[in-house]
Amino acid sequence: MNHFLLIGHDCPFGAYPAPVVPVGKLDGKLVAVYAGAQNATVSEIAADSHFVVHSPRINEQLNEFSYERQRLFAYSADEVVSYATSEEREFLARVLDDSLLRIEDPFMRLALAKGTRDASVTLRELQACAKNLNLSASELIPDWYQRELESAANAGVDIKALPSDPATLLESAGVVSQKTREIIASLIRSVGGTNVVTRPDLPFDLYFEETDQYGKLWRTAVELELHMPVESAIQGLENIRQAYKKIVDRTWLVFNGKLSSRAAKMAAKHDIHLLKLDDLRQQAESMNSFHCLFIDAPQTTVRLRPWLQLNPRSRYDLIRVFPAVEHEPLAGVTLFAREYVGEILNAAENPTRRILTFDLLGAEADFPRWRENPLREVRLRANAAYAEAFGRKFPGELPGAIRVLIVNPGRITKEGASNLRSYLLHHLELGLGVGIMVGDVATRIADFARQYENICEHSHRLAYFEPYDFHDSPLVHHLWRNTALTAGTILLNQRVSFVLEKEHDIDRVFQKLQIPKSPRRKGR
Amino acid sequence: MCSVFGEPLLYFFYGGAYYRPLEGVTRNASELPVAFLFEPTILTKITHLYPFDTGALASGRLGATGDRLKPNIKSFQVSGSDVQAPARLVHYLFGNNEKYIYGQLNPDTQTKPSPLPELYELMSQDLTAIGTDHRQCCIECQTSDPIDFGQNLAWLAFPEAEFETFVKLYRTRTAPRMPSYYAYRSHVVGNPREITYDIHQKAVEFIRPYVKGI
Repeated sequence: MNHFLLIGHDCPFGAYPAPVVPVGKLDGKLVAVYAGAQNATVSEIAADSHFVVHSPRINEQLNEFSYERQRLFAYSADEVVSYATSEEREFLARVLDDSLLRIEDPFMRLALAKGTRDASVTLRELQACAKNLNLSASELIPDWYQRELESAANAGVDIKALPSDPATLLESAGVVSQKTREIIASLIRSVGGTNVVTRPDLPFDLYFEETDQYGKLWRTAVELELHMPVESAIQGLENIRQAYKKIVDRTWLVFNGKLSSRAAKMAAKHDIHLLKLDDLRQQAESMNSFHCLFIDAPQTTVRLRPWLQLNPRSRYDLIRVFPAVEHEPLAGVTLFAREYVGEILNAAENPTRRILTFDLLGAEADFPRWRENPLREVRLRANAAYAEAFGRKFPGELPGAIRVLIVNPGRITKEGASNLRSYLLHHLELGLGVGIMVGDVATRIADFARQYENICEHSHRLAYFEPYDFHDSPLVHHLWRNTALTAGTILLNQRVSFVLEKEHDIDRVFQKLQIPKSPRRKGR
Repeated sequence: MCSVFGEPLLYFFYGGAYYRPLEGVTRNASELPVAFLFEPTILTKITHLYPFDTGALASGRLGATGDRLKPNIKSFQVSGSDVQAPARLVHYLFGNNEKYIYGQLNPDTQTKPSPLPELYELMSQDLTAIGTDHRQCCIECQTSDPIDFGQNLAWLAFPEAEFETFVKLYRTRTAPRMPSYYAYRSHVVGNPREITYDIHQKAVEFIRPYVKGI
């Protein structure tokens, strides 16, 4: 038998831990020993070849090394072990389980795992690689996994024990599925990222663009990491974020579970915006809690819709502004009635959620005229029709149309209070929910209405029932988002200050708000 | 820097992946082969072609005929300005691309004008004894221009443990275009010659659909 003297090794992977090539002297020649399917193959190399010369300690440890029956594995240049080729599967399994000298590269781990021919070990490493790829280049996963299944089968792994397709692999690895991704995309659309899409050319789960109120375009990438600890997710995301920072301005990380203060600090440091899935879901639910939201303002009636009711690809018609001023006698009423009432009656054919209206017409000067104002009656009758349809579909629920009157108690005269009382009673008679709102939230709603009216005044697109595209005016996009969020919060949390269900509630509320007493109408 | 021509050059082989064990640019004791197949579009950047591996010829690995032709190496140079030039070389020496891929020479070449008979003689030698493989039947393409991976890389082969490097290449150079690839097993380090044979087979599988119609 030829005498082989092991003198060192070469690591062609360029990094440890890794399988390495034994280098030694065989019959006086310098050779590298390669692993073969059956036997080792020896290749003569140049005398000045580069390789790691083993220290006396390693030489001592490996003095029994047989190039024909053993192979080398190195944890570092100075930490080399041999193993019997016949026990390679067990050795590789031990290497992968070694937590002290852990191999970090998931693809090196996968290569070794297939060498064990153990399906459960291979699956574990496939999952780790899938997670890694999902962060860095998810579009590669389908092709990669198909090849990995073939490779595993060729290596002798029982692939029947492995997921049959990449989606199942990702699910088994706790990675966000396409379905979950679509659901979260819908949630983000609901809360204002109306044009959120998936971009196969970007290694992020979702992407959307929006223009802020100052006209600056923000390109936002969203990464969904629902199963990984937030700190690890941030670390993984940071590299990608850096690589794509020229085409992505902001990075969001949607996570699940608890957020540690350390993770929050890391996110702030790396400029990654954290968004907890539960919070996102809650916000989306809030902003989708109504079918339509109306703000009846002196000059206009604004109508908002939440995103989810629309075609997911449509950004149109989230908002309309109906001019509610009679420029010519009756003409305004006719136009308003056709559009406004038409919308509500259409919705009444299949009521889903409540219609919420903020009534800003409650100035004391207006109430005296409410009976004579045909637009008011048009609104109330349309709302009543919807409430009736809603009540039929959801018996026992709160009224399907709720109108909230924004009032300033300090400015209501006795006569105004009398008219307000009769106006409230009229709501109850029609089966509508009615409430009175005062304070900061009421002020905010009034402020929104003023902004819509200002925009309407300066925009051709918003007036005369034309659908609105947020790309035209980012300011209105922000306004829509804020209004929907506020309205949703009010509706869901029942934060309407005073909800009136019966006539005697009116006196109680009037007393509490210090609205001037008004004589009860006879017969009431 | 090319030691044969004394200038900075990039080398490609037309239609295959070949192993050049002794002409490597490193002195590493072992290697894990990596192969790249480029789109035919890079032919527009090729400045010169040779109907053999010039490195193998210069190092005396193309047998006695190679040694005889060596002093006149430049006389075999074909201008690369014509993108059809390699196709014409294939036509005259092998008949068609498929025969070129498998190294099946066209016997008619022996009766054609010089230097085709000399090339036939060079390519038909049995050089297995000196460890020279299919390279005696391959067309070498040279350029001094850099070649962009992003636009031109069609296929590559690499050790599967280096998949992270492939992902990096994809993301930084080729995305959104994804080159096809072959990731060979690397739980142990196999013989580069055997790996390269395997890579060549995979490369041929990849280009086979394109070969027949050309």
